Amino acid sequence: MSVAGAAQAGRGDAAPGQASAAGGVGVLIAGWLVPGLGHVLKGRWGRGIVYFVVVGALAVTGYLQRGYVFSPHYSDAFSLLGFLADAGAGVFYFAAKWIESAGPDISRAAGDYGTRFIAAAGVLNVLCAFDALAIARRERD
Amino acid sequence: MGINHFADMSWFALIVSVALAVLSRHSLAERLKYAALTFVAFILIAIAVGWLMFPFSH
Repeated sequence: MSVAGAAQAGRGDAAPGQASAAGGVGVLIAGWLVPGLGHVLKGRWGRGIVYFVVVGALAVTGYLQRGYVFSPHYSDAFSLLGFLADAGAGVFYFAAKWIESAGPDISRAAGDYGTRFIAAAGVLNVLCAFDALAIARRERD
Repeated sequence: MGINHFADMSWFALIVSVALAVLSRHSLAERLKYAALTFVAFILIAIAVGWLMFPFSH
């Protein structure tokens, strides 16, 4: 499934006349920072809300299970990949310290699962942000 | 927070199925069908892989 194909498939839920003048890169950054915001800026309210809910559900589930959140101060390639995946969740990544105030606990299976949930939230949000970018570029062209 | 492995897996499968359906399908009916099929595939493949790994756990 390509992002461009996914963007093309989503044309039907755009409300007429709601497309904003937001630029492609701005839409990409907005979609990364707040899950679904890139789609909202392009008038895809339904998609935007769904993406916010699913990315938020994955991230919050991971935090409640006390998954490990990778910091920007990585020490090896694995930590770097973990940080990039986690940071993909945008505002939910920055909210980790408040939601998961007790800190990570990966000595239990729940914490290990939580780590995967958090990473999945970030990767999924990056996919959604690039989908918003594809929509913006298609509208521009 | 307590953990139930199957419930955890099902929750993950449900969320990701919905996201992929909204990303890749056009109409509501198509999205519902795609999400349902993807969710079932997630569960069945996970159970199959679990059974394949079972002999190595002993």
